[in-house]
Amino acid sequence: MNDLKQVNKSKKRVDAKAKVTGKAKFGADLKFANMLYGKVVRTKYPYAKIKNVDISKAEAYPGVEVVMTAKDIPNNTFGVIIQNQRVLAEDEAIYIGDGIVMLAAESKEAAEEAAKLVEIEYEELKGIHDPLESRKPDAQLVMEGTDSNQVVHHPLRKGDVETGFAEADLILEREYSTHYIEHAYLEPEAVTVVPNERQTLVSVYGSVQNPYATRDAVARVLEADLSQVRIIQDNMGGSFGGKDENISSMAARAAVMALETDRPVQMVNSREESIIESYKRHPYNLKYKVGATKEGKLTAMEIEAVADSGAYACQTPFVTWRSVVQATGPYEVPNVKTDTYGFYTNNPYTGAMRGYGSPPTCFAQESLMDELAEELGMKPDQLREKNMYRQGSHTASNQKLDNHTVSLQEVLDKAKESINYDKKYEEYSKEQTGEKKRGIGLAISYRGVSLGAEAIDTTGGIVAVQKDGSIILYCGLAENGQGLRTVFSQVVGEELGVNLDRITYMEADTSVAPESGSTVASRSTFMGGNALKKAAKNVKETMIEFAKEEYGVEGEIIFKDNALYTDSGKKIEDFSKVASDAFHSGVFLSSYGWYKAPKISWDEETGQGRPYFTYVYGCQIAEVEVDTGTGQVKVLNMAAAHDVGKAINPANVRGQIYGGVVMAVGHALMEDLGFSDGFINHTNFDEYLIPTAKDIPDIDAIIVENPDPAGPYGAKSIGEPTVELGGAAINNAIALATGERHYDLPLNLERVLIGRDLSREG
Amino acid sequence: MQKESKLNAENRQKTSGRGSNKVPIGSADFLAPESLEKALDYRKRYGFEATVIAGGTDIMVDYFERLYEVNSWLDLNKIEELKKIEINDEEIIIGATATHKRIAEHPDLQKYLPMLAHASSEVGAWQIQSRGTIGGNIVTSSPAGDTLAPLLAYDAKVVLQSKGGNRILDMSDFFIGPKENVEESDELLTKIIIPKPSENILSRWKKVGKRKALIISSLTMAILIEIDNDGVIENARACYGAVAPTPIEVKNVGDYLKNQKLKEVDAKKVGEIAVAGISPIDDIRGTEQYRRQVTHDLTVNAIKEMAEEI
Ligand SMILES: Cc1cc2nc3c(=O)[nH]c(=O)nc-3n(C[C@H](O)[C@H](O)[C@H](O)COP(=O)(O)OP(=O)(O)OC[C@H]3O[C@@H](n4cnc5c(N)ncnc54)[C@H](O)[C@@H]3O)c2cc1C
Repeated sequence: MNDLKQVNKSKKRVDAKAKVTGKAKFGADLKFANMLYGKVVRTKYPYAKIKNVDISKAEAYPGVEVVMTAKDIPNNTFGVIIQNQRVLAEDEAIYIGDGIVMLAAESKEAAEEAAKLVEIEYEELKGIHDPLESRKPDAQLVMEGTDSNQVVHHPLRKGDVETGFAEADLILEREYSTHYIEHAYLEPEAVTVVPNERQTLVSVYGSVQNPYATRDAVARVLEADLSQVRIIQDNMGGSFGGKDENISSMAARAAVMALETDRPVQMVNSREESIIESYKRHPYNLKYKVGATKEGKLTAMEIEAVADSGAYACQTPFVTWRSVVQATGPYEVPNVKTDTYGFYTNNPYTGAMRGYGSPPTCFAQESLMDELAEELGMKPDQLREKNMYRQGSHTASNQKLDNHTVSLQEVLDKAKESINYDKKYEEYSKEQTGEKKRGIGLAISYRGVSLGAEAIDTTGGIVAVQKDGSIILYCGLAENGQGLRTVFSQVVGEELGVNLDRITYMEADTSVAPESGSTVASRSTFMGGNALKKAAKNVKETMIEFAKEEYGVEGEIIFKDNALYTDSGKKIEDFSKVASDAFHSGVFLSSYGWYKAPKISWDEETGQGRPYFTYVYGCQIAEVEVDTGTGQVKVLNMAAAHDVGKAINPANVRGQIYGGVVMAVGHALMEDLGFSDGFINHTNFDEYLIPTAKDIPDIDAIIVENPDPAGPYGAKSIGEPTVELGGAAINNAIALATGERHYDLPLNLERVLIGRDLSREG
Repeated sequence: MQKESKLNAENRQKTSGRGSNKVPIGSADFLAPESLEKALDYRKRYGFEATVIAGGTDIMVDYFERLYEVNSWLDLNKIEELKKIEINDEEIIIGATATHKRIAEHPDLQKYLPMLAHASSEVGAWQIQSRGTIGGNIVTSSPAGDTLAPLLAYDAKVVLQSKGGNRILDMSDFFIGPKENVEESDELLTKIIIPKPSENILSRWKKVGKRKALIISSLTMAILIEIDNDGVIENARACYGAVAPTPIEVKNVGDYLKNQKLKEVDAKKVGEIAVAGISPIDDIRGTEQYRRQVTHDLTVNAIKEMAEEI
């Protein structure tokens, strides 16, 4: 462990060259002989009865091969948790992205023209567009076959909040809201389905984040065996949680049309189609009540978080579950009562997005902690230090944090030091003259690694040493741009002492790799790293055994620098020679590795148990300048300290931190769907604004390493914690600068200047 | 609020009204003359049948996914004469196809027309500035065009040239509505003439947008004040973008300021006069209330700062 060659090094990305030279093929680059182009006709209204659909003119359009509606689909529903998402809407459209008709033609142009000829008669209905309306007992029902609009309710009860509030000297009650966020991946969704190829019914190629989830959906829709559906994912132009159900639905549509025509069908969304149809981050309405003694000890917290699930259940049950676990933030609170809910509405459906259920609760709860500190006359960091988790602390669900290092103090200290927090806090707390005012604000968090009690948590991988010593890796986890190919190659390279140029991480192919769960929850390095490490270890043992016999060596054998050595440092043979000799002696040099995550538990009634097997800790501090004449906020600096256990690739970790911070800046300050009454008005990046290079602060990415006993080389995770803290940190910084607190996102010009978002109704 | 889903490109906001109802004339030509004379010939012959293109940063967006609707192009990029920037004792003359980047980086323009140079440096981003031209910005005639308030403040004139001759118009007479102007189908905008400002000039430029680059302004402000040696205001112009159907000068501000000592001006009053002179609307870049408040605050601050500067 102490002499690492591959791991803990900023190795160049193994796929960087192909990507920067344009050689890497993405979903929409693929071409197959005889391919058709698919297109979907979507609803004009967020909620409408579909009275009649006339496809005759579209069918007659030259070049059109097939036009289909919901009736033509073998099984029209799918879903990862609750199977109520429809491939196409039949009797009614229940959100603005619902597809009604799909067609495929010889050219994109023909498909587009034909789509315009589809005649749909609607009866526009008044929908429900606010989850707080939809939760009322007498609200009209969004989803057929349900008796209420509630998708899910997660309670958590610890101690007794009444007693807790009675002990408090100060009680604060605040309400917060967060908004829709579009994933804004560079590459819009693209899928090609080839029928009757590679011994399967359908092969699905494209920008698929979670190959197995998409396989489940396509097989379910086609009523086919899993073995007959093959998903192959290669390069992705970003996902951030966003290419799951919408891709599944696209793949299912293309698959149905491919089988109908017996020709490959390609579907590629325009940006407008992508923004209108794809799921978003859940908007939340949050109510927080907190009690504290005048010394600043928290006595009780009562929390209600209501998430807008939109038209489908999608991942609402799991997203709101992460919220219930993290809702108090990383603080010891003896008495907690938390309820998180999801409700159906006729709004865009909401699902996974980097951060999952935590960014809304982090925003609320870390904003609240700042306000509480102010009310108590304490410094924000002091209040946190007084209450935050330490080694052996008990969480809201009564999990004792003792199997890993609880490093909140370390991340807090390192971030503070990097940005010179104490001095700046003091300076910006004084009266500031002039239009531009500065502030500094912080936020801390703890976050469960991997899926937790959401689902079974297992991953498999294959390490296959070839007879020339080169190595092929398979795993069901997908390279979504996060750098997983590189990280996995480093882990295997470290075990087998082989350099990365001899290792190839293959495309994710569901018919080859073992089902590994989804590439989500910041779990891949941990789960896939462990699985592949095991597989590599198995191969290594086989090679050691072979080498001892074949070359007559004894004692320990060391694998390094593409060769095998004795423990005294004498070279035995090149790795490639050993592989070749072994192969020609009939030795099997491949192995599966299977990893099952440590045990966890959860009581659905009380919210008590061990929801995650380990946690990561982070602190971000934002320094801002607010133009009080215009409401413009400039984030000047951001210090982001994250405990990742062990950085398999420090450059990649920093990349994740930079990316997470930039996303959070966008979410906090400018991103806005232009949503009103079920319609999405900002359908491209001229209106849906994300940060440009000029909006990005100077970011100090601070890697903190406290190896986790269960992680590969001690690694935990980094992808999502980076995006959950920025909102609160920026909000707190703005409050210090201007003396005014905000409770709703985004903190756009108008909100910061006038105190409310004038462009939004209600 | 819209009534139907904004799914298709047709629903995109158009940056100019023209062209969409064009009747194809059969032949599709790409005209790239090297002389102005030749260009004016084509202009006469084709009129609006040929779409004029300079940097293309507005027109290409305009025709996004509808490029086939453009029948013929008249490309101005090969005409050297239109790119010139000249400065003499009385005037500064900027060719219509001078790019924002050249204007932003031109030392004389930075010296004499700092608001224009600054505004040009805030158009879009590096790439847009390298292609986009001042003429394109003017002819697009967006109320939010970044160079327009500064040009009004500098009392610029535009030269519209045709085979028949020249028209020289005050900038303020050129714009007649959002994305509408008085250019005729046989005319080209060839240059912008700006009287060389005196030495005793103070000015303030401000762009307000929802992010730091690649953003259409929520509001722009260009205020210019000319003072004599005693600090008395001889002449003042306060101009704004994105607060009315066209970029505008609020003349009452100039009238109010004239002959006052800058140091003694009631800045708040100036802010009020400015707000009374604008007619903003609610749109995606800002609400009416926001624009009024910001116009007020920016104007007040600009006056205060300028008073401190002398
Ligand atoms: C990403 C992006 C960001 C942008 N950001 C900004 C911004 O921040 N601020 C801003 O003000 N603008 C912005 N714009 C708009 C645009 O870049 C500017 O208006 C630019 O000045 C247009 O110049 P152009 O040469 O590219 O015009 P073109 O697109 O070539 O032409 C624009 C219009 O003017 C006509 N035309 C051009 N030259 C002449 C001429 N000499 N005589 C007669 N007609 C002519 C064309 O026919 C067309 O109708 C942005 C555009 C994009 C795409």
